[in-house]
Amino acid sequence: MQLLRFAGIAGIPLTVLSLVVGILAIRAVYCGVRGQATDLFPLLFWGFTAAVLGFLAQCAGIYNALTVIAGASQISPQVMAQGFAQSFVSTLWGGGLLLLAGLVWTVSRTIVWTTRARHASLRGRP
Amino acid sequence: MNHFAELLAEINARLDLPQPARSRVLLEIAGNMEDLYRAHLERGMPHEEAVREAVAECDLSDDALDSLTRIHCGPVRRVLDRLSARALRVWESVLLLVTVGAEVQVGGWLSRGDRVFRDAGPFTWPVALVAVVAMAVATAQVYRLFLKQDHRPLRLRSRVDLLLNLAVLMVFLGFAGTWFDVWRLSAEMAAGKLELTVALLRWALRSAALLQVSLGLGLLSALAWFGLTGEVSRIEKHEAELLLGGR
Repeated sequence: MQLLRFAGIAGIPLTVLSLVVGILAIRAVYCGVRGQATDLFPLLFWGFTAAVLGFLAQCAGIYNALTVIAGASQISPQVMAQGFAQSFVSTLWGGGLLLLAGLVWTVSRTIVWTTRARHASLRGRP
Repeated sequence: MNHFAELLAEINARLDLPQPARSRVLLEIAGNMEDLYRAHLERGMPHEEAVREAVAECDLSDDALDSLTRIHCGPVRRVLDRLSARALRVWESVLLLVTVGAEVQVGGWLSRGDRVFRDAGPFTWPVALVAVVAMAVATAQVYRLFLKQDHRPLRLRSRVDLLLNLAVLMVFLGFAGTWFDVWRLSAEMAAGKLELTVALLRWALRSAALLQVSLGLGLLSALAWFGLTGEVSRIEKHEAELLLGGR
């Protein structure tokens, strides 16, 4: 719940995107292990969307915080630093999803190629 | 069945291209032959002769097909095709709507107080201009594909990819504006007009506002591109199947 709160406006969309990227990643690995080709590009697209959305939410969070800071007569540097650190949650969340998507994409492509090469060499044997 | 179904089926067999590029090439050839056929009919030629003439006037040699293959199978084109190669599945359409809904909500928050746009500085104007162009392109495509249902092969993809280019341009303008502000504020600090803390606060505020605007609008444009290319791919596949007579 705290993660959702820290992620600000992107909390709910990022949760949905996490589920989607997670399901697509599991499916990609499952198909890769079975040597079946699967469409991996939606995984990358939604991972990229999550990363941009996360960064957008951080910008929105920083902007709102700065608007308040600009009007405040006194501000604690500790509170400010804490808020600044929290603003990175959404970016890291979105970036993490993109990283996961990229890793799964690379790994499952490698698995599919390796499996196919093994099958081809087995078929080629006398 | 199309007048050129047999010939198109033969070309389909000769084309060494993945989908959806194969459907696109077939639709392009079919569109050209149909235009020539209609032109001959209007000149008073009988149906059979018009078909024969249209086929004869179209260059369907191996070289011509190779050059069409090269045009439709460049590296960038291939990546874009694979990114949106198939019609959107139901869950993807729902997710697209959810993301667009979230974006619209963010847009609503931003526009409620136009302070964000004011704080974003002069770079908001080019970003807003590009966004207006993107919105016009997306609206025109939605009108053509869904309301007018103009599925003429040669016009199907026209300007859809422009949406992605405009999205990249918006994000680029956002970051360019951010860097421009660093330079401008540094110059002001060097001239002794600003203190470091004030300059930093001003820069952070302006950058956060500008990036919100440019990233938000850029993401919307990219999502519109994703949705529309999915729909175009579905139509292309359907049209190619119709042309080939359900082969």
